[in-house]
Amino acid sequence: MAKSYSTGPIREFMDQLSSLERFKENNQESFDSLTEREVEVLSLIGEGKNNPAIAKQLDITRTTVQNHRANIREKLNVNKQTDFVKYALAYDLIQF
Amino acid sequence: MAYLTDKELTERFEFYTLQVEDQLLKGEGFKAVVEKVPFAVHLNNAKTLEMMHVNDKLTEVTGFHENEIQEMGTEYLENYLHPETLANISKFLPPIYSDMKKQDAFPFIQYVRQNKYADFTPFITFTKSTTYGSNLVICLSLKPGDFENMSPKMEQIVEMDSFKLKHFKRFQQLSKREVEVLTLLAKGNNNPKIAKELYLSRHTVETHRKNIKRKLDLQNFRDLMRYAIAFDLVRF
Repeated sequence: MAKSYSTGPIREFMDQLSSLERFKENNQESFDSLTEREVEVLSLIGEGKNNPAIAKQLDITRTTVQNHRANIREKLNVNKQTDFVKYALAYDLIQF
Repeated sequence: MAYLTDKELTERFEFYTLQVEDQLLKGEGFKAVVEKVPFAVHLNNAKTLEMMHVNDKLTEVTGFHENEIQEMGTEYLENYLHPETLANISKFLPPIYSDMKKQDAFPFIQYVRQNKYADFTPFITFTKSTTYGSNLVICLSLKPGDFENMSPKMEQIVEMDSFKLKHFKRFQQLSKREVEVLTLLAKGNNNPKIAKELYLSRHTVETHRKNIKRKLDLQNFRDLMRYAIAFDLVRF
């Protein structure tokens, strides 16, 4: 297992990136349904920012951020923070 | 600019590696074969891993000519490879070589420096065992700059591995239980769920979380995910 080595073997990383690639292909339709603003919010969520931080950065109210978040949730059918990150990684909104 | 996918890139390097082997086996001689390859090529001893033959491209990136590298032998590895790289490859490469199928090329990252005061640079190396020579293996190495117009994903892989190298000591501080909690967090579970899954009180889960956060110096969920991905705790 890769865990036993501090560095070196990269098959696991390659597998991870290939499955993100497949994920991207399979979810293109849902992703395309996002508005430009929602994509922006998604990438900030992916970066680990919370609602207040996102509101501040985009200069919008927290309620608006909450609405965006709710819309993204619905359009992408995601619930967990992990899935937001997965989308953001797959669509190159964030780098590893 | 069209990028190669990682699969295409891997296949291309496997192909290069096989081609080098093929030509060596045809008796074309190392120098004649490797001149055509645009990457660092080195033939290593399968057991000691010291470099036995190298091409000009390798001299360019390491700063050493073939005769100098041959003279240094394993000393080269000790002085110019990152200690973690040396420790790891000494463990994982020999069994891979002895168990390798004919067509396989194994990719890994190694960190190399030009002199004792320089920083370590990551290289992606594709290697395969061969019947050419006695106890030799073929290696093709390239550094991230060489990936231009190839695959941005390859650069990400280097990032992931570098993260691992940088944070391995921190990660090792986690107890087995903490790794379990970290994994469940990365998979998107909340405290009550984790408590249930691991038969712990919520309070205990909260304590584990705090300790994980402190040990790994996590600022947010993103940092947590980096660890989970780099240390192979979650699969997408």
